[in-house]
Amino acid sequence: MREILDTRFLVEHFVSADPELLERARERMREVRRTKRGLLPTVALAEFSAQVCRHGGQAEARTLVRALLASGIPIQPLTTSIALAAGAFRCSNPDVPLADCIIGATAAEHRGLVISDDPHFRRLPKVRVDWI
Amino acid sequence: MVPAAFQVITPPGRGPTLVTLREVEQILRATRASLSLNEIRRRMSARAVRHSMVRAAVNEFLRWGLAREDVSGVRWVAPRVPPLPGRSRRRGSVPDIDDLAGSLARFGPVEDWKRELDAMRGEEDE
Repeated sequence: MREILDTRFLVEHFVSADPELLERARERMREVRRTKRGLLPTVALAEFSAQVCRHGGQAEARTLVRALLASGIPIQPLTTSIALAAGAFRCSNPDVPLADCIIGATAAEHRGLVISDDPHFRRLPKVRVDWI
Repeated sequence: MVPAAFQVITPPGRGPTLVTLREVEQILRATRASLSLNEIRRRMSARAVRHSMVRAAVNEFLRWGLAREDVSGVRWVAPRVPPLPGRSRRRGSVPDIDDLAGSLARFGPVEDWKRELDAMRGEEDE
């Protein structure tokens, strides 16, 4: 089963200072890479790189993005079918942000689950959620 | 012929690879507490690692004084191992995401990042 990496999971993995949470996030990331089940939506990559750039500057963002691209985790672009499914999610759940709808639709398309602690995903039908 | 005083006793058979040594090093360096060999083995990325390989890797670090072992396990004690000359500055070298875990903690607590992310996503709302 595919595991879709939400931006909040990337944040937990790279930003957390809590040793226990950091180790759990790290372990989950290792597992995702080992099993080759991970999938990183382009929208999560965009959100995360924007945040890193805002805090650490462009050089820091470039380093993180290059490391993510070299990690072996496939990047999932926004395809037409995912875009349409995201649109349907947004239509029936207008208070769920569009980025969440796209990530949720990516999970639905692959019959996978989203790794996130964002409660928005639990409101999307046919989207399974898990956390570290 | 190497004089006996300079000979290093090596275990018979194949030893751990450089990749294994680096992975064990990273696991030990990332953890301040002592780790048992079984715990090191559990944290390694490979599904199955022989106990003897982990032991051989740890022994190498003990021999160089980079780690110490007592009844509670193995602990990394060297403050820092310098990178290979020129390697870190080599163009095109990309760090592994496992090495970068927690590297952005210096930019503020994770809760602030998540709040900002919510705000960023909230901009999509009307």
